[in-house]
Amino acid sequence: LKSEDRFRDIYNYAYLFSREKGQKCVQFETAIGIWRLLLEGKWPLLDDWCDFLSKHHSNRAISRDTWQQLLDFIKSIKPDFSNFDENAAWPYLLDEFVTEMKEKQAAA
Amino acid sequence: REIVDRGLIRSITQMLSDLGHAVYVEDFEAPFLASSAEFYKKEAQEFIVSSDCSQYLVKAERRLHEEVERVKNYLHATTEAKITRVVETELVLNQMKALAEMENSGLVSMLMHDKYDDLQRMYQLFRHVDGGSQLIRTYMADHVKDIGKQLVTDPEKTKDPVEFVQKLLDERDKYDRVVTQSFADDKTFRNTLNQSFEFFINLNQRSPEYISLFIDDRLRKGLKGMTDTDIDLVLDKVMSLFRYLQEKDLFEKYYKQHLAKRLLSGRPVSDDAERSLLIKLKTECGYQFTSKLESMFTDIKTSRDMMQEYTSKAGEAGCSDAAAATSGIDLQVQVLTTGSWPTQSACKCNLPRELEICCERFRTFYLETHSGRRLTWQTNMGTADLRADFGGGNRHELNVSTYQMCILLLFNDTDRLTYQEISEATEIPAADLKRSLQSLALMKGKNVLRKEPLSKEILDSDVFIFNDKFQSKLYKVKVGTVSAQKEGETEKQETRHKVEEDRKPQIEAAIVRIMKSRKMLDHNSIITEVMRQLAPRFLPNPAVIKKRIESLIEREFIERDADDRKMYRYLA
Repeated sequence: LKSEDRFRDIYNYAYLFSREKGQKCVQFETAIGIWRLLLEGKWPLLDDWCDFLSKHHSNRAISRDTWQQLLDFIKSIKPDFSNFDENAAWPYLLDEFVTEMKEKQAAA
Repeated sequence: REIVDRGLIRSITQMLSDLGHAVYVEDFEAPFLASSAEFYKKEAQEFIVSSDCSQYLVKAERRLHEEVERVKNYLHATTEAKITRVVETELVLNQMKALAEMENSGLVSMLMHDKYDDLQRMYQLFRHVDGGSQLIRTYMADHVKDIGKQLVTDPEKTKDPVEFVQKLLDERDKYDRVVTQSFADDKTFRNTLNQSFEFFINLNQRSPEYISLFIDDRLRKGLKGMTDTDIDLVLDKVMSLFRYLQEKDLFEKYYKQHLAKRLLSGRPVSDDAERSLLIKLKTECGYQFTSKLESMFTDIKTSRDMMQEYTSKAGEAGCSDAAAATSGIDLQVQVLTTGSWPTQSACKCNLPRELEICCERFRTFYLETHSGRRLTWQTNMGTADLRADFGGGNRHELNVSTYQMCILLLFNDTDRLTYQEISEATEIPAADLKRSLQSLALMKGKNVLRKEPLSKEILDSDVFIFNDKFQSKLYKVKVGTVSAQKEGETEKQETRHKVEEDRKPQIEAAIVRIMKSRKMLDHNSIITEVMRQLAPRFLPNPAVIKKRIESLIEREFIERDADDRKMYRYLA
């Protein structure tokens, strides 16, 4: 349990750390980089997430809330997204990610 | 045919009652009710195959009367309620679905053919059984929604906005009459009708625009010869349609645009009717809805008073300015308060020199009394009356838009101009320039200019020539297209985009208001509450509300709760 909390602390701190001076949000490129660093091997959908962002959200910044909520998402949502409720309080980027993933899975 | 000995039966039933009410019930009433039920069950099945819905209902009604009479004549009074229930169960309750659904004679057919009596009979019979009233309402709702859906999705019927709205009003009148005449003004039926209308009117996204265009059409032309009460009636009916709209803010945008055109057209405005409608809108939607609209009226009135002052002042001062003295230009200015009138992108064009001088004189006059203000000429909103001399001593008065005036006055110096030359001289934006030239050169009966080549499209390579041979039966020719029109596809998208943008701050304000008062609230409750608060103006999309929440989190108005990610907290 302790290591999980530790990881969360590190993960959340990484966001603040990677912000450029004077910026409130982390730039897209940097975010992808840090995500790959921290989540490689820990999250099977990491590549899908990065692909999705590159396609739909590139050159835009990532909000702090989205960053933090992603960890909750990774921990609680099943790989088939069966327990994902789009009317719940997830950031809309995650809503869109799930929608696209569901389409991908249906097509496969 | 057997004849009933009423006297005898009355004595018998009386005798049983005297022995004790329980005796009456057990020995007579119970078997009586049971065999009556059998009888009516059979009769119902016979009726249903041999009669149509209307005939069946008449028979059922008659049977009920007969039983009531029977009780009065020779049964105990307490039997009335029970036998009535038996008849209603067998003849009505158990057959009502089949009756309503009867082809060519059932409920839908009655509604379509205004069979008020039949409908009334059905209502009076059905409402006494469980679920009877509801059945009629459900079928009526489904039918109205069907008819309505067909109407609003039919491209033929939705081509002309005014006709479309007239059809909506006619449909509403029709069903209103049914509820009044056949359903005893039953409130639940009225509500059902309203819900059905609300459902299908909002299926067509152009309903707000079309309703505003209908109002515009009526206020511009259709009220001559109508009494005040008649006018009020029409406006009230239109208001009832307005009430069904879910996107009232979209309506407001169009209404403002159309009102602006009416007020600036230079045509007489039905002042009383306009104000009457404004009051109705204010009563319905509150002060915020109409405050800007009222300000528009005030601007017009103020401008009118100011022009009187201006012309009298110019008169007494005597014109020392030679150009102005000989120009003979009758200038009418309306000063519009920015923010109250529909926003237009700043567009400048080059005015003819004589007009420039005139305008500058007015600007000086105005700024003398309002020194802190800034005036910008809205060249896309004005009109002009020009006196034009054509070949053969032909003189006409042309009513044109400001843009068209700028174009035409160029032809005072030359007879031929290319599109490029006109564009460079006037600096009118391309889309507007093309539209103006279309009206001047390609409309039958109004082609004061000729175009080479004579194609339908305006191209950069076109040449325009003063049409010396112009003819018209009328002395005054109206060329300008300044009255309200149904929007083209691009403009429609733009308007929708503007409205969506306007909604964002309103949603955010609602979220902040709610969070400020509740301090802490879960996601779904916020969504529900925001939708409830904004419903009088529009129905916000939950996904859009969610994005606004995220934006507010980023701007640190609210935050997520550390322990429960579904809860938000207000940040003071």
